[in-house]
Amino acid sequence: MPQVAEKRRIVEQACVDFERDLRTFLAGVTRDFHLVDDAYQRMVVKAIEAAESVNPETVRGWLFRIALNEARELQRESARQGRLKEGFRTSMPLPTESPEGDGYAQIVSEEEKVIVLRALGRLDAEYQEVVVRRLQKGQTFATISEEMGRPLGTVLTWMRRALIQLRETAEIRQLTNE
Amino acid sequence: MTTTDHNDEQFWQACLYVMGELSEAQQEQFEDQLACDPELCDFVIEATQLMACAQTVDPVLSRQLVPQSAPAEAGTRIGRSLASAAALAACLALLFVVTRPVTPPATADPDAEVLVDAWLSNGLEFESTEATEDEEFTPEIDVPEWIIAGVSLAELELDDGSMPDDVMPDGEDMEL
Repeated sequence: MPQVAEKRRIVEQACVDFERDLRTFLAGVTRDFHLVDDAYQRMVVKAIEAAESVNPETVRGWLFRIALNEARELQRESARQGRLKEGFRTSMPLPTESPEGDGYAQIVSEEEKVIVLRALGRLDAEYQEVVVRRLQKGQTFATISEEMGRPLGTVLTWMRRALIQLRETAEIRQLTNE
Repeated sequence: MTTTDHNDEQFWQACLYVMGELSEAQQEQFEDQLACDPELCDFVIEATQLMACAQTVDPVLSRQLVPQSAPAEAGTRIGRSLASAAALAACLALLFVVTRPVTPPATADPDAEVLVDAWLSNGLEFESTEATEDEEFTPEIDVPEWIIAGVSLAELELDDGSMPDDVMPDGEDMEL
């Protein structure tokens, strides 16, 4: 059936075109690099199996829904196997700690890291500190609040402003749009 | 709420989700929204990429950022040092007043000031940049002998400005 074959081709091509976004999305949802590859592969299989139901105009959103379902399913399986899902920082070790090497290479490039570093350096001092403590040192917001001697709400506000300012940096905007 | 505010709020929620800061119920609710909101999926992608970049920044470079941006952390330690040093200086000043048989001079003894300043600066410079988060700062109030001796040096000075030979043993270095 040519129509089904054509839809299948569209789905396969979309999986390739949106691979990086899908992997990044899966990394954010699972918070576990070990699950990203599995989730992505399962998503691709499921998507191809269900290709005849796809609307070519909304294939991207459709793929993300499948990806989300597969990620949630994998998380449930992992939880049943006793693997704890911690926050972003602890489940994704720093490159120097990861025996498999830099897992972030899948979703961020060296150029992007440099751009973010530069933008981070231009933030207000308090914002920089909160970002570094939370994302690089893996401290909880409660610990950051205690060590910086600031209320928890203030620390969260600083983190929010820092991330929004980073996002709005012209160079990072350009990366996102690309 | 403007569109920008709404986008910022969505982005922040995505960041909280990716950081694992949402409760289980909030996470479920957020994921239900993800299933039918492609724009929210894009915010999750943005949040993940941004935080992955910020997380993988060179730890050496991040330490350069933290000192300039972490006045509270260093300030807490320096504050404790200053408080201890101030207490020490007060003790030294009291010792100085008590040991002098005559009324205190109108002007402060420059030698004693130099020694106390040297002790204070040594305490601050000792602050290690490698200090870990769990390191507890315990102020030392163990006054070395040379400090106490140094404060009293002025009394022993000879008329020609030199010191008696038996005051400074040969080969003993003063740690500054």
